[in-house]
Amino acid sequence: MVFLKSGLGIKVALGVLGVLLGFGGVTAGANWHAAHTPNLAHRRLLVGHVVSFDGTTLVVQARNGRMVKLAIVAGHTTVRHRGKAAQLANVQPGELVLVHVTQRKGKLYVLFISILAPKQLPQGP
Amino acid sequence: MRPRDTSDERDDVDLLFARLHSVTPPADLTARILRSLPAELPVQAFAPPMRSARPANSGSNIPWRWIALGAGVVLAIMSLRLGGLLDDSGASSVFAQIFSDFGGFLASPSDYLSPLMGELPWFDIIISLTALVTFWVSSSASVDQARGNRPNGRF
Repeated sequence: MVFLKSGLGIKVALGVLGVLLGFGGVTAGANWHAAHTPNLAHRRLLVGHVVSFDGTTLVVQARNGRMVKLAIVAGHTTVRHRGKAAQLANVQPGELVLVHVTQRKGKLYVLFISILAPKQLPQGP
Repeated sequence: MRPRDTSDERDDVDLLFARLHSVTPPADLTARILRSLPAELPVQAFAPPMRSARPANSGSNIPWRWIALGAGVVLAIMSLRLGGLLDDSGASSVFAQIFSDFGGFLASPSDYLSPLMGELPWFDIIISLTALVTFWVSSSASVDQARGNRPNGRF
């Protein structure tokens, strides 16, 4: 690249400045949005711990502490764990999950559940 | 030097200047001077007064500084908007989880990426990346432009 022939140091510094400006803006925008819309109303991706699951309704506590009630769509909800398909029966309270949801008529339906960290079994003495 | 036996206050230089008068230059003086110059002049000797006579294709007339400023403003605005969109979709919480447990992400990236890809605001991401690249290229070109405008190419 012709424009890198001279003054390489200051040009690399300008590139780093641009990257920092971008990341700083993204972080500030996300923090501002999170502070002003804490109810998770438009979230389509949720990361949190499973509080309860009865086969049809999944309750997840999101990272910001809010409880979210989600409906399972029978036959359409995909469950994955460590890159492989899993069963709904594998979803247990206490597990860390990533949930992909869709909203219809004010109700949240689960499309995809990824079990990120299985529930830790209690260690014996 | 002033004559001693006269009351005239003017000296010889004043008298000399009094005898001078302006003449009208020949009409073709400028053309004759330009014709007498050699076809190729050494650029270094005439660099300061001939800045405006650079070839048009050198790019020196492009306002890189203003382009860089505009790209920086667009980058700042778009990154703020992008952050809001990422939080609105929940993608920011997925990124936070990836950064907090990078080993888990490397173990099975598809568990994170397959739901994430469909929810990312790609249009805003492309605009932000374009603004970032434009900012970098134009600010670098502005540095080159500033170097070129200085004598001998030095700061």
